[in-house]
Amino acid sequence: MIFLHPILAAVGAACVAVPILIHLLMRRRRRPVVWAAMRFILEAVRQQRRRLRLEQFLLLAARCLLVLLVAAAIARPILSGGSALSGRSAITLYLLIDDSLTSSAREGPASALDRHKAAAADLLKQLDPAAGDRAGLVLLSAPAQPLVLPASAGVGAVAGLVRDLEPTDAAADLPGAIAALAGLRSDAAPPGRTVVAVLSDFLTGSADIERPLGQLPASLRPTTILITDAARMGPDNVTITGVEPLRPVVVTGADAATQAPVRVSLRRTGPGVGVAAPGLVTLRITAPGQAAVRAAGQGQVRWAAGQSTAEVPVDLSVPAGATGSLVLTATADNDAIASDNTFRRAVEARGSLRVALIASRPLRAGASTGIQKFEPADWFRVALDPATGSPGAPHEIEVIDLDPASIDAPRVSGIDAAIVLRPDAVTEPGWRHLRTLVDEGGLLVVAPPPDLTVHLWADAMTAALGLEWTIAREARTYPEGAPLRDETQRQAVLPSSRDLLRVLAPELPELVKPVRVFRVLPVQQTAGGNAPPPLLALADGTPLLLAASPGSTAEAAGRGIVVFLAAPPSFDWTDLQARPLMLPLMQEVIRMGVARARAGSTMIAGAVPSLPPRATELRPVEGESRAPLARGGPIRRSGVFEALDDRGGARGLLTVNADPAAGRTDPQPVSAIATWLASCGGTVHVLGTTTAEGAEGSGALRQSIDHGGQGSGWSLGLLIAALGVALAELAMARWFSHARVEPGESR
Amino acid sequence: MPTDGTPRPAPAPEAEASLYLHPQTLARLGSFELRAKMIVEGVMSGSHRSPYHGFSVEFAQHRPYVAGDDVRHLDWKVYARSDKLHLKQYQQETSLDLMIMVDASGSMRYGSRTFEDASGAGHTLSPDGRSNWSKFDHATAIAAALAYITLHQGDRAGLTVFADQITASIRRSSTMGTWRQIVGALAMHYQGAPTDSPTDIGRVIDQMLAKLTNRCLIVLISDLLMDPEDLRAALARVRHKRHDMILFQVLDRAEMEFDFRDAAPFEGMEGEPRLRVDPRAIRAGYLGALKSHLAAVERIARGFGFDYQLMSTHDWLGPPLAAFVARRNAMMRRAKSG
Repeated sequence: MIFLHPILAAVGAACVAVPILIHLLMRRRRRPVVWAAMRFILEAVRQQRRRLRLEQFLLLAARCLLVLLVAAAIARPILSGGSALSGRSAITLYLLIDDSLTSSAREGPASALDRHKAAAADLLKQLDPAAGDRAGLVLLSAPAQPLVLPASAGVGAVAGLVRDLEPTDAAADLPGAIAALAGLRSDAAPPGRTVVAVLSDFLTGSADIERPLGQLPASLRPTTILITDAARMGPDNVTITGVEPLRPVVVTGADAATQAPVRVSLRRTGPGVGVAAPGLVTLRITAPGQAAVRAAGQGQVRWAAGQSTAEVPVDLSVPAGATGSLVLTATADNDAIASDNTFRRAVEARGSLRVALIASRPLRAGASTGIQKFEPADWFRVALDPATGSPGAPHEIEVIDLDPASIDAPRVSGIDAAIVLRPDAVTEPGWRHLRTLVDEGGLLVVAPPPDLTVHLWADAMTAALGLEWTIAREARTYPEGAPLRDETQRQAVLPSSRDLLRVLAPELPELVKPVRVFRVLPVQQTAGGNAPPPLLALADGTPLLLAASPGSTAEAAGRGIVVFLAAPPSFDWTDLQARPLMLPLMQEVIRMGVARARAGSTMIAGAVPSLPPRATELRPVEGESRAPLARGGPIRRSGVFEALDDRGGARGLLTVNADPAAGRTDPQPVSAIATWLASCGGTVHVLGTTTAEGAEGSGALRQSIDHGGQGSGWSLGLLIAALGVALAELAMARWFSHARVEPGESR
Repeated sequence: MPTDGTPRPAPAPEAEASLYLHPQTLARLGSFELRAKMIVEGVMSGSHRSPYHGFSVEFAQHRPYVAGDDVRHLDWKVYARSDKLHLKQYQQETSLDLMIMVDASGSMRYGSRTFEDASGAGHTLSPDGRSNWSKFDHATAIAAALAYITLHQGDRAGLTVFADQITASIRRSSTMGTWRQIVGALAMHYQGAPTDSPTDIGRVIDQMLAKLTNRCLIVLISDLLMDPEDLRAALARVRHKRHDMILFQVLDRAEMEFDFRDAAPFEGMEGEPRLRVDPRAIRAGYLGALKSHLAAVERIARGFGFDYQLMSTHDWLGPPLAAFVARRNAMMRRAKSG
């Protein structure tokens, strides 16, 4: 027998000593009574000694039993095994098998999943379809996968499905499995007894007991929940929890190699955490589906005793000319769980970025006109391409001019980003083309025209781009000049926006100090919207620089980013363009914005991938099977996938990695697991330890389920029994006290 | 009471007597006489029947005249009617010898009543410094009362104090100073080393009987917490010597009710081992054993023709003692008239 609260059970067992201690202490503190007529006491004791001893024993036993029963009821006992499959009423067995990442952990020749499969097979053998028994099968890897649901009389077919199970790289989704059972129609629940067998090691990665479980439906109750005994110790496991290149888009240029810093995050779990150990992380950049390595590097980690997380910086040198979609793969030392030792990340290498400046009057820097005549477009051009006008200088950002009235699809399709400085001149079709740019992953930067008094263009822009912004018609003025405050330091913002200034963040507080703003076009976010807070704002909180993904809540969100600069680089509005912030700000907005938009996406196993625009299917680029994946379904195995459109054209890479949360291998007490599972409305029984041959060897599982009691539902029974014992104790104490003998009875 | 360790002066017997013989008790008993139910052998003429026939006032029988008889006792009326010489014989009346036996064994020291409440004289402590009214104190009061009555009616009274043997005695005398000696001896008896010895009634009776040369009225005042068979054997020897006897069994109310609530160790006063008991659990058995014992003692006493009276230390002495003496005298008168 085990208890859901073993500490309470231990305390309760210790409390049995309380009545005995009270008895002993009461004996000790009594003062002796000097008595003359001892002969009558001796005679009375001699006559009643046996009865008195029996009475005292019965009273003490009742009191100890009372304490034990109450303690056991509070501790909620669970009997090993259960009578779940004994008896011959029809049984419906739902197998919930953990095929998540931790089920691939190997200790010896068999994996945890092998043990679960053996236990499932053993349970299935005990079913008799002729007697009306049925079996259902739900796999726990997220999202929970109901393979056979409702339960089927084809027990043999279910056993065959169990045999073919393979571990996935996703986390376990027991709440989802319970929800799948809860979704059964009441008429789908066959008559008889319902048994839900949860076969798992219940490591922290496979059972998040903090997540609430749903309730089993009334049609399945009373439900017996059989659980395998939780693992007493998990294997040592190192998980790569993240690989973060400084910029997902590497602009390689044409001549020299480009340094690409990468930060690898690691976590280790298991008993080995308490031991100092070295580790090695290997990084390589390859083209998808190709073995040739474009760049490689290594990083070392020295785990200190007790250290569970680490970050390893690695510098990769990407050679010039390496362009296109690439896969950055980090690999850690092999251990019990292999899948989370590899982390893939899609990166993109470009020779240069193409940015369109959409303004009415382009002016080449370096011309005879001075900076006093610079238009906002000129400041942007200088900021994006400082080498403008220098023949032979590398141009990592290629700036092209585009007239607002001539925005069309061909022009837009060839650029990575567009900076609209004359939004008032953009036509409605022009906005639609710019929306297309953003939807396909482009970056759009918009700034108000400096010479307008009334800005009527804003409505057309926000409507076309589906932004949750309300842009004022008139600018707000600050005659003395308003300073900036650093929003990235002040508040947490969404990662997609924060990443735009991530590289700049350490120096940003110093850079914003000299900047003054004299006019700004106020932007308000729609009430109830979930738009991110501004990246830069004035001291009074008026946004200066905002970023958001296009698309209203009614539409699917696009991949690109829209950035709004509320004060154009004009001295009537701000002196930003003359401050050191201007150049790094524009460079980072463009580089990181394009990187966020263009780089392939990364997701964890178990999630449903969002396809890039125009993509219609995902096809794995590694492994034996290149068959396209079913659209709309989750991906439970890690790998690299290529998004293709309906004409077979590449629309980007998708890398899927093992769920880092699923790789935690710390054990959890079976009592906590039982409590968690009992919350869904079933009576929990614990099976014996399972092996690859079954539970504790041949026949042990059957033996464990052929006998047993009622599980944690015994608490109520124990409380009732305790009440009965308490009443009996009261009656006995009253009877044995002989209080009914009246004084003076002897006469 | 001095507490500086200086020896306490022995109280005068008169002062001690007031502690035990309350004036109200005396008032109750003043009109009674203590008479021997059986024939006693006094050394002086008195109001009690004697085994010796003399020529006193109370006619007993006739017997034929033999030569040498005193012709003064011839019954001339019988001679006139029958022409035979008969002498008139009269019952000789003699004095009563009262021997009071007071048990001073360890168990007699028990008492749950306060001395102040029981003595009625305003004293909170006994002459030997106790604050409780023990069974021995009650026995002392009974002895004082009986001795007073006896001496007041001109008879002789003596005292024997005993435990496992006779520890003190006062010879019989009819002087009023004897009463003060008896009370003083009893009041101061425990001032020395109190005894823990049990009662050896057989040995004590033997010792006492050896000292008695004439038939006496023996008053035994004890808690009689002894084997009834030992008591039977002792009383049998008393009866054999043709002494009259009155048994006063003195018990404390706590002993008779045993109304304790909490479990506690009980420690005997005569060397019995300490015993932890739950009083409520054994109370029925205790009371049953006590009841059997009391019945056995009374049966033994009555069986030898002796009077028996159970006395509680929590009762005032006067009423029960007066009732007892009155009842005894009434019975004696009925027996005599019948």
